[in-house]
Amino acid sequence: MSTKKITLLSSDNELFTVDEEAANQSLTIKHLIEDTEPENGVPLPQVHSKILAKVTEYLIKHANEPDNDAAAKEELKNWDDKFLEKVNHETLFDLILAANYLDIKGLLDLTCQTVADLMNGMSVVEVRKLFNIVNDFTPEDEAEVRKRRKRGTKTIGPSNDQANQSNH
Amino acid sequence: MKKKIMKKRKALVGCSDQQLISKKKRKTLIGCPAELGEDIIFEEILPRLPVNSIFRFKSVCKKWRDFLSRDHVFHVQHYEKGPHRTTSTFFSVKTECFFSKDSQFRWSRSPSFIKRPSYASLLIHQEDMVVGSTNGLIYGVRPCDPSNPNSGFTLVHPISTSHWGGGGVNAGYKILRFKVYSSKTGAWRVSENTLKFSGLTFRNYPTAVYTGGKKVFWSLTEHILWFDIGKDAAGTVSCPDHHDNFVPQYKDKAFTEIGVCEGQLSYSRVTIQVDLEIWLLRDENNELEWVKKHVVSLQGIIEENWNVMLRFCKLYTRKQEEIKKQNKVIKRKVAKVLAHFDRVAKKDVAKVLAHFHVVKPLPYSGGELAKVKPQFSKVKPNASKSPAPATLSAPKPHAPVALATPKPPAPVVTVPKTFALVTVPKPIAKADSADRTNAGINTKGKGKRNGKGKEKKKSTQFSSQLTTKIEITSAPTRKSARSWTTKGNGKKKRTIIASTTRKEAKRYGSVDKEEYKVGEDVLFDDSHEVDQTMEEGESQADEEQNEEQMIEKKMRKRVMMKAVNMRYKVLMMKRGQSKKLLMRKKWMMQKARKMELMDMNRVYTVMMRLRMFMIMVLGDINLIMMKPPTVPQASAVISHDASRQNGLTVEAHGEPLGVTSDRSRSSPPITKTAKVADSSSEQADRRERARGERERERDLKLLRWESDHLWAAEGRWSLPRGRREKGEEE
Repeated sequence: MSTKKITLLSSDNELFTVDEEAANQSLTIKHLIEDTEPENGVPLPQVHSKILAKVTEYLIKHANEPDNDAAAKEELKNWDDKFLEKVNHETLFDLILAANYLDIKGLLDLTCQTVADLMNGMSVVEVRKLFNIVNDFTPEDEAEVRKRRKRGTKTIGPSNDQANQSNH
Repeated sequence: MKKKIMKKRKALVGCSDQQLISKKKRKTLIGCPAELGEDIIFEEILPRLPVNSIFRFKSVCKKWRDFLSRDHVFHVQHYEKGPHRTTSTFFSVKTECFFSKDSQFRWSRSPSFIKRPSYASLLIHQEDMVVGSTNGLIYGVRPCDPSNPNSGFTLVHPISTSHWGGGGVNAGYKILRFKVYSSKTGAWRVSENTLKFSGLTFRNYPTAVYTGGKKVFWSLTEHILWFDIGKDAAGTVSCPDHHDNFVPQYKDKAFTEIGVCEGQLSYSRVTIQVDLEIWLLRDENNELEWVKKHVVSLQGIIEENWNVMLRFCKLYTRKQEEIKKQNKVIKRKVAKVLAHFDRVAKKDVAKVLAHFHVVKPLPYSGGELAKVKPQFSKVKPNASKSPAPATLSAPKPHAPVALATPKPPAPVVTVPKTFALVTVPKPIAKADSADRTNAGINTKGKGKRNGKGKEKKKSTQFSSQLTTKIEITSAPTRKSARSWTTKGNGKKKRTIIASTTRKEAKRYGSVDKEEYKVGEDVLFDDSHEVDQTMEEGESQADEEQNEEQMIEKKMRKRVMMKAVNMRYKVLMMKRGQSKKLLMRKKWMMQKARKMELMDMNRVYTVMMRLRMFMIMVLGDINLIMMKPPTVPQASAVISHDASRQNGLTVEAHGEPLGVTSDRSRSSPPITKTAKVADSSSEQADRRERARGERERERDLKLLRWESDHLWAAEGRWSLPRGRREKGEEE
């Protein structure tokens, strides 16, 4: 089977070459190839070369996903973990955006799960910082939310006391 | 440039200007760009968070709060993507909110997202109805289709309308409709097809299961009710030959469970031979057929997994202990139980546990029965229904009720039969003894019954419904608790009848009559000094006597004690002696009562732990139903029970009342004396009572607190609180 090479063009005009099979994981690229059949590579003006390098790395690795081989799957999983290990938040977010734009489901799942795991260990303040959100609660609001949350977790199981709170 | 960035960010994140942080300021922060769009955050990232985090992050900003609490699509997504894919989620009708359980067995409440339907017509509305779900999609009283999250969800709950025919209350039947909620339309609709039924009894908390293929199952006492969402059809299947080898008193909630296994309905139960049976309901060409999958001996499970159980019990105890650090009493108690586990031969313990049906089957979902080889039996599924047994003690089997078919005419029941049926199965012995003791009042009761009986002739179905109502009273918790508490001194042997009628016991002879020494060495060695001293005049317990007789004996003893106490007091008063002796006596009485409660509580603790153990053994069980601590129906019966002890006649609660009052009527001599004793002792003891109040209150508090906690941790197994209070107050 002949492997057709596909060239990807990043926003700063760097070229990346991947197999068609690998590139097809990205639905956006797949559709672009089908529709336009570009000669000088697929232009991806929204993705910087730094990010695109990462993306192609992922695409190549995941080109042949093992179906039944447990060991191979395990290895791939480990690779995934390492892949995002040293990535800083900024790159991670860029990767999410790129994965979203390029419509790569696997990468989007992976990166989003990483962010979710990250958030899981964070406080509310840290999360606000992470997403650049300003706290728009008034102190009274905050107190109420805190109170409610406290009760919600304190009471184990459904109890009648909670009836009033949950009905809004 | 800056403006441009701001604009872009605004578009992406969708926050107001004020919410955006200037670029300069941003640099001083952790240094993350806010370039993730709202859609990505809300659709991809937040759904992946565990429930606990979601609660925390509600306080991030208003937008998040609104989104996390109100958006229903989010919740479906959350369960699809979140880490809780296989954990349980429950929906509580009363509070209308969802509970999900994370990996650490903690409960957290997730926001409700369903518009409030009208609950007036809900079949089960008295209490929190907790309903399970798969993948976060609700089934049970409100199940839904988990196949496609984008298709929304469907909730189903049955409503019943009563149709009373002529000729008395019992001649009526009920019509069952199904209300279906679709998230697409956002409205409830009532299914066109109805199910006309009589003789179906609902459990207090019917378990519900969604097996895929659009069918939802509910487990009723003796039937499985199903509703097909796609075809809008409903029907019932009777449980596999329940009348044959089923422990009647456990026919209700306690000893059967339904679950999903291999896409089919699984039905697990404990038989009278103390086997755990697992059946599958095959659904082929719309013909439902029971197939027996496993038969495992409960004792075997316990014995073979002894280490697991022991470890688990210890583990669990440690957890409990951590919570109750200050509570030395409980600590000691728990240590004692564990010490017993260590000391006593595992075979014995396993035997006892199995025989007392302490271990409950769990919804079987296809996991391995750990270390226990499953036997594949050749037993044919419930192909033929045997005709109603001639014996009065056996409950009448119900033919499956087809959709909208009127019930077959029920056989006429003669009056004594009705009476027997009413007291089926275990009260028979009691009725006998009542006959012996006081025939006069008993016949009075019969006479009344007679009048009613004529009206009721038309429907045996209903009377058997009544029986099952009674069955609720015999919740295994109390049963076994009683048998533990009444064991008396350790020297005498006691027969453990697998808590059935004598007739049943005979039928299954050897298995049930196994003698077993329940001495001080099994489980609890709490010496019953007080009990023993009080037992003086009591005759030794009959080896053959069943539970009911034991209870009655105990009651009589209590009444006698009261009378003795009274006489004693009066005597003392007359002599003008100091109150010291009186106080001493009183104190002893109190202590005895306390001990009783403690014992019950301990049994309960063990049972709870064992249930958890079963969860481990059976493997991938992902559904545990929860139950509120107080059950209105059960408590009604319980209060009856308690008031019988107090010597008060019972007032009927709800419809099936003929029965309850009948039962109370059958023990009239006790009633009389007790009344006298009660009223006069009340006056005499007022002062002592005030003194003992503080202590008692503290004790009760402790018990209650513990039971609440245990309930919360495990769910089903709780000693009915109503009874406990009543017992204390007398």
